[in-house]
Amino acid sequence: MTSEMRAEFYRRKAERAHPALILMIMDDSGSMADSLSGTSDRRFELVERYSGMILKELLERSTEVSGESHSIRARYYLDIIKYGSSLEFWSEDELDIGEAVKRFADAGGSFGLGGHLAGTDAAAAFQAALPRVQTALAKDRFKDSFPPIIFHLTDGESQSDAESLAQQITSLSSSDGNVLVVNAYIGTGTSLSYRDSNDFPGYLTEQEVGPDPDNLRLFRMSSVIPNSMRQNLIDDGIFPLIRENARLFFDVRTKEMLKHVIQVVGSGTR
Amino acid sequence: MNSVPAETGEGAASPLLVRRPPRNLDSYERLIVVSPGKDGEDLKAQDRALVVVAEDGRSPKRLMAIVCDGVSQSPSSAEAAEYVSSSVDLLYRENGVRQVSGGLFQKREALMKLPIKLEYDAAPVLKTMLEEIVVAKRARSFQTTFIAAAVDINEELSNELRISILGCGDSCVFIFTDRGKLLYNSLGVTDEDDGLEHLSVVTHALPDSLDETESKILADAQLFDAQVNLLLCSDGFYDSFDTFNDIFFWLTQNLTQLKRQDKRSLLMSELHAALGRKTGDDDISFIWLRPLNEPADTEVDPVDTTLGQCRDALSGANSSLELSFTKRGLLSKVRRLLSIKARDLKDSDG
Repeated sequence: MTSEMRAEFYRRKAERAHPALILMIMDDSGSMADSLSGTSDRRFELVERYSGMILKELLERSTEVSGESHSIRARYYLDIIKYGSSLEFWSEDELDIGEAVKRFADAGGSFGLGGHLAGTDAAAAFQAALPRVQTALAKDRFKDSFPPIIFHLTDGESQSDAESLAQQITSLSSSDGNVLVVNAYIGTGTSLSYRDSNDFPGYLTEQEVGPDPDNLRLFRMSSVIPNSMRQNLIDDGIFPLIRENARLFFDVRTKEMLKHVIQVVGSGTR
Repeated sequence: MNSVPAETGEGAASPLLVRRPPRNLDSYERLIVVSPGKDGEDLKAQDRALVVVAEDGRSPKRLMAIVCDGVSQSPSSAEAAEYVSSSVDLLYRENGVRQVSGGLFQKREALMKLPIKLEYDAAPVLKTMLEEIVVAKRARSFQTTFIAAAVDINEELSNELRISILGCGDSCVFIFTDRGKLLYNSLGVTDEDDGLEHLSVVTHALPDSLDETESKILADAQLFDAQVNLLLCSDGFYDSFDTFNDIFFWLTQNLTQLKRQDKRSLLMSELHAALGRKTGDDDISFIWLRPLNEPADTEVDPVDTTLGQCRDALSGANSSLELSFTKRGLLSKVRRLLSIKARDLKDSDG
């Protein structure tokens, strides 16, 4: 898809008639119970904390307030696949944001992460995601919505190659464009020099990613950022300097970076 | 000021107030359309539009027009749009924008004092989250964009108009000739074939944008020939088109139908369908002030469409408004030429 074509797509607002789908593929391997460099917080705790913040924001966008009362008009749906060497599905199907937040809250603000699933089989997770996305796009609810965002969060070297499966997923589309795949790699290092989210420029080339094969694989699995999404990230101050045509690949070096990366899931048009 | 409420159709979002126009403003026809968008089964109905004429002894008389678009994510935004539109005369007084914003802040403060009712017993985490959400949303309540124009006859040159523009947010104004030449606009468009884009992803709106800095308020006044057309519109209207030429073509080709409520409903339904396919449906509103050679046509049907009726009639209808971006420029020019040709033929027929 060229830049011109991208400008014509990815424009649908998330609304009740055409809600946006977010599918999170979350690494729950043993290393997610380790602390993130520079902090004593365990990785999965940070993931759940910041995911809770974005869930709240998505719920806020879906909440209508009238006088003393309020009502939820779901503009977002959430699906979660946890993986290690095995898979766990957080729900049978995607949940509307009201139900998703309720389930998250009833579990004490948790998705049940904890570094419980040994190993890292990303291919199995993407293999499981593929039919769920296909099924979702066949529904009236999503076929004309802003394309689904697949947000993959991992902290380790995958024992399997999910690249071809990611390509299959990004070949799927709604009428507003191809499915987007975001990859966030906690704790990795690359050849790109930047201080933090304020000057993070995004990755345009494999040279910037560096020689690490896992980084390169995740970079290639990541979609090019749509113009609308990039503008929202800039205007919201999430990544104010992210470059045009950057890939949706993020190396998470700090807690602060993780917080900003997770906000990418809410940066589609609204 | 005197006002004569017109009849309103079922589902009308705003009354059309047509005053008896004074002789020197009789030569401007006023076409007002407010068409609510839908989100699922819910009507948005957050736009308001109003035209008033000052009849307070001022000579020559002043005509004021305003379109307001309540911010979707802001509670009570429809009420804000109603309040600001009905305060158009106040907007044009000294410190008027600040006074009107003050009224919005007062309404917000009253809302924030109301208790929060949660409809069910929720887990503590969820209860806290919902309460925080309600508080945060109330703190952003009563937000609306607006675009207004005050039209005065130049006292020294009766063939000139002084048009004073006020605005905040992404509703906009176009001033153009009968042949579709764009003379002024608030979108930053440089010519009739430029793409129509929002100036900012962030929607500025009263009252908060005034509170931050007055530079977010558009205030401009210029002299124009008395034969200009004035179009005020919400973003739902211009988002339905690719260029100003497309807007001009649509207006001129559909002028007769736009004056008839039944025909107008069908046209607006088509526009909603086109907008829905582009970015998602929204309220579509505009005011078109156009000069006439004869006195103003008072046979214009009252404002408004009933969206629900029209959608069923047009399910599956193809919209003539969809344009491939690769053909946009060429088709825009052709349409503009056709509309000018049609106008010339009509003039020659008398």
